[in-house]
Amino acid sequence: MAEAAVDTTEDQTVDTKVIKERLDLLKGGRFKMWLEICAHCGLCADSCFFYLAHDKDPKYMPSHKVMKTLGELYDKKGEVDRATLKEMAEVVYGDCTACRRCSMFCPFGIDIATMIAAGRGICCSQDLHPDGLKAAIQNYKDTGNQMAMSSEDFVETCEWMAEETEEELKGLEIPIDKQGARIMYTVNAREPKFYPQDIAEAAMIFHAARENWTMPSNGWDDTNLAMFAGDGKTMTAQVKLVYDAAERLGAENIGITE
Amino acid sequence: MLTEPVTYQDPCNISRNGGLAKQGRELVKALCTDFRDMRDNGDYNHCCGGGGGYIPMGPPFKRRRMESGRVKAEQIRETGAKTVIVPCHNCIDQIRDLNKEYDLGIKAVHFKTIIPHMMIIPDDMKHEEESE
Amino acid sequence: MYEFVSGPLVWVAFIVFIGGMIIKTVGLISLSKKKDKVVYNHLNLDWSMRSIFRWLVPFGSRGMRENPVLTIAGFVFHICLLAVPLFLLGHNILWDEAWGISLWSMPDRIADWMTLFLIAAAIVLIIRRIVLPEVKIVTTSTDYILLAIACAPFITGYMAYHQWMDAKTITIIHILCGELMLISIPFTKLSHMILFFLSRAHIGSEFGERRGTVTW
Ligand code: HEM
Ligand code: SF4
Ligand code: SF4
Repeated sequence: MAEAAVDTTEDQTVDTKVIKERLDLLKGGRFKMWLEICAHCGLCADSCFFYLAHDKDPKYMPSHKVMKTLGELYDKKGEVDRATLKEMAEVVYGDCTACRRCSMFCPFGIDIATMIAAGRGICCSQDLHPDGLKAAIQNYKDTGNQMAMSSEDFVETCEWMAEETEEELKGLEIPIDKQGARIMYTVNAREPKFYPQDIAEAAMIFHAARENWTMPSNGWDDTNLAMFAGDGKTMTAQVKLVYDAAERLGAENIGITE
Repeated sequence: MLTEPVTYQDPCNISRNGGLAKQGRELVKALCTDFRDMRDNGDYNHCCGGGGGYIPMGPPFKRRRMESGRVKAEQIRETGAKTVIVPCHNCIDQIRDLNKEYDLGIKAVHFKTIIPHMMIIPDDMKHEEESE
Repeated sequence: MYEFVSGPLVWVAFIVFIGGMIIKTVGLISLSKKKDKVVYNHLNLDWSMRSIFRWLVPFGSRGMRENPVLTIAGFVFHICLLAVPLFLLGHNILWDEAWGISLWSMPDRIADWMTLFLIAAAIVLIIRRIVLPEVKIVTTSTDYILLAIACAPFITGYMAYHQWMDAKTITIIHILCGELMLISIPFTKLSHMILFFLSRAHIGSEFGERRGTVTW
């Protein structure tokens, strides 16, 4: 049994009203159908790497993970205490990466990952998402990227990289906020923060290919950890930030880093 | 061209959930001479074990992440590859962690790490003193 | 008693079954139109049909190829489950007498064997549930009850045909079991006989139309 990793506080409250509202909102056609028709056949087990990596420990089989979380929430109509919800959080955050492989192996094509994500949404509404994601969400809200990098720092990093790389490729630039580019390139915030070389390498490829490209000074982080946490509001805001940047710059495409 | 054995990690959101498994392979094959696909590749590939926000969840989850990453570590080891091309920032961090944990003896790289060394540089972009 | 069970109660069972399934299916679709609008952006007939077809033919999907025991037991179970009641000579004579319609019917000897195959397949399914840990952990008592409900008409039908015990009583029980099965379909996971097609169409399109990847 793995050690508990979410919510190490002593908080004991749950807002069952919010949980109920969310359950209700979620119970669209799909969720209702999936939870009902699962044949409990076990075909999905072998498809999940959590299950395989734990020597076929049945508690990691996909259908079980959903039954223990979203399924139980529906069964109990949202009436759960915080301890139970915490156990669920350990499962939805720590025992499934929402990779969707299991859906390829289920005779009904049940989308386990989407239901796990719904479970995350409920845990997140009770502030039970992992601390690492909480910090990232705060950063998105404050600065528009998960690493809390200011726009100036980002632009400076790009300029520095452009300068260094020009030594290798004549004429190389990293165009910031250029209007009407064919590609607006966006990155993972860990790149400017920890691996600026990655931006330089991408720039070399764009330059050698004579691509008409740019990077926005704001809205350049294409990661969305709020989505993984289950925070729909911040998730949408972050997507909008990037799309708005593309619109502002009149870019034809949004390019996403590796 | 890379001459040592190379394998390719299919990031879930690029292959299974992005539909780009074939294109990724075409690119890999253009960059190396000894490409060895993993068992269960393409749309069927396993998650690196660090997806869905697992890595940014931070240290409290690290142990579990390394345990569940065993499947990926075994997949990589079976290919005998020395280089793993990983077109995803998240996967690459996980695979580098797995490399340490499981002593795989591999190097994980992005496409953009190797392409600049292999691409043909147009003449007008070469600095004079670099005329090799 | 026999008159009641084989008359009005049959009507009730069919009305609940067909009406229930229509209400359920239409209800789910309209609910999803309200709450899952995204689904409809990439619903695609071609991908839906392929996704359904691949899981309707034996060993058509990788999941089935990797689990031959379930695949064989599952297909034997379902084929017999659908074929025997529809093509049994006795049933067809009854329908002919009542409504003047009948389907092709199979020789009784074949129906007999298929019934035994169905029971054997059900036993395999039950054993799976007991011995495989990954199946056991998701198995609920309802799963066993529904397997019993699905098998009961066959077991009692076999007994009635072979005149085991009091044929008249057994026949009444047989009809009741059949009606119970029909009635439980709309209210349980047995509704998968229709919803299978909806959920496969959804996932086939979700993976295929949106991303060009397969779900089989
Ligand atoms: C006509 C369309 C139908 C389709 C496409 C279908 C499909 C499936 C599939 C894919 C499974 C899961 C895997 C397996 O056990 O093979 C399943 C299981 C099952 N089905 Fe069906 N089914 C249909 C009709 C029915 C009907 C009419 C009944 C009974 C009234 C039924 C009873 C069951 C039962 C009891 C199981 C669970 C088996 C177990 O316990 O392992 N099915 N079905
Ligand atoms: S989506 Fe979750 S349960 Fe399904 S295979 Fe991936 S990790 Fe396992
Ligand atoms: S394969 Fe599908 S139907 Fe079978 S147990 Fe898993 S989720 Fe349920």
